[in-house]
Amino acid sequence: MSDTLKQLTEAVIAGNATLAGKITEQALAEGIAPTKVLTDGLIAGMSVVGVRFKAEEIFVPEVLIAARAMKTGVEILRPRLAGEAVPMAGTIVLGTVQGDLHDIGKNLVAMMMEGVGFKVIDLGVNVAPERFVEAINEHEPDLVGMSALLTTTMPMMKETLEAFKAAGVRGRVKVVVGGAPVNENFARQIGADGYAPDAGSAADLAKALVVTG
Amino acid sequence: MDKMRPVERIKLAVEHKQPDRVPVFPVCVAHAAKNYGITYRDYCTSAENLARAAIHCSRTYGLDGVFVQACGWQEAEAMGVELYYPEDNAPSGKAPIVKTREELKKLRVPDPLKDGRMPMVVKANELVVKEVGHELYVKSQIDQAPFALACELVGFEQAFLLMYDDPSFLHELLEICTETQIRYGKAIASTGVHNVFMGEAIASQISPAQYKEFSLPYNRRVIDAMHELGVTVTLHTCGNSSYILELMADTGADIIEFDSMVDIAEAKRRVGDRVCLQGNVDTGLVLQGTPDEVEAAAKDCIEKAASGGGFILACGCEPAPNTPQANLHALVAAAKKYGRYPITQ
Repeated sequence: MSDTLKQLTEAVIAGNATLAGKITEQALAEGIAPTKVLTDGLIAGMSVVGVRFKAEEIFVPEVLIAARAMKTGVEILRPRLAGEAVPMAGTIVLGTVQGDLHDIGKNLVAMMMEGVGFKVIDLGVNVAPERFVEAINEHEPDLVGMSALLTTTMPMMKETLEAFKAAGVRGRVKVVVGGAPVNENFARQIGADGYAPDAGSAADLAKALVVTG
Repeated sequence: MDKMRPVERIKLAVEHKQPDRVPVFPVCVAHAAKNYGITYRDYCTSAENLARAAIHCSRTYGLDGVFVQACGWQEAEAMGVELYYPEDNAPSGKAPIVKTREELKKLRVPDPLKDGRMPMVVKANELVVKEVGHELYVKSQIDQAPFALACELVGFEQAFLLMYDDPSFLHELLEICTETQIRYGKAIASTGVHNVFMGEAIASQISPAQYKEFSLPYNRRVIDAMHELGVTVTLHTCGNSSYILELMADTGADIIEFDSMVDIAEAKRRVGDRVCLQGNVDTGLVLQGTPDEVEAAAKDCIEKAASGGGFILACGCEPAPNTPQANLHALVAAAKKYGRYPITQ
């Protein structure tokens, strides 16, 4: 790999947005293809961040600054990427379930999903079951990710899944759940396809689920 | 039969002594409202409702303490954050109010006897202490630890970014948050409660070095101020707080509450000699499991953490509103069945 892309990866890992922007421009000036800058520079950096986060070597603030650095690069690339076929890992619809207004965990998952190449449709917080259903119909995602931070809102995950069945869309998507009070056992009981304990694992799980189909 | 008054039982545990049995005190909030038959909104906006629901919950299950908590946003509300009040769920802030230095300069320490719902919570504590304070251990919120309150005021992501972008901004904000909680804590302490509770759900998401810089010193100041008034302090986190157990004990807190992701045997080994442990039966299990499963999980906690005293049996976090009563009864029964002292490991 070129030194420039290696430096770009390091800038993302260090969360240095200014440097990441500068090196992205430099890479383009050197004639490196924009998709290569994206995947081998920016996404490569974010993948390392995901691994370190999962291994509990770094914490949420470090993930946030890395994601910001990656975004800075992506914004510079965006006009150059238009028209190019950017390979995507898949599409995921994300949201915090109805009654729950927390978004930090869900936002981290969104960043990690983008970091590994997913197109993310973020519905935000306090998302009603019918809004998830609408988004499935509109965006035809591979996956739906639901988050709940509160013990008081986790039952809404089950209700949302039931709304998917009632609307006849359950078979069209894989559903993954996460959030502080949620665990593997709970995910199984409510009939989700998967559970991830943190944002790094969520991205791995999403990739695995898309591959197995 | 239990011989000791519940308040004495918890006080002894907090002093690292052995009561007659392991005290049991899951901290119920939304469940208390539901159990009392009122909506969360009615529960968290009236001193009378809050006090009645809290006492009713402790009586229903025979808990050793009463927990008085309206919600996690009232300090931020008293400082100017507008809240969204769902009918039957906890309120939450609409938007951060401190985005610039100008807004930081304008931020004031609220008056706990005047601003927002702070006076309501003070009043609720007066009612609870008067009615059951001689018998049950009264734990009141103040509620957010300074760092957690700062996160509510600037937004969680912004607070995390400020650690890198402008730490001095964050420290100035933390000064105001610390002063807020000391003043609020003093007003609550004056009602005669035994313990005040500070939560920092978010603390498990930052590194130990960040906790040391942005949380620990401010927590310690609030805790020292409470100790001067003769009131003990509970420090609560959510999620996996294994990384920071020693640092939580370093704050000087008397009780630390932690979630079921923390190995309680490890917590006992690492900080059990310095701080009373409260926890940590999986709250999801208490919602969805059977009474037998809850009993087994509670027994496991007692076996791992009760020896020598300094332990209060509880759920890892707040039980969900629709938690089956039978499961909370099973938790309490387990304390009586397996928690008789002396207990050796």
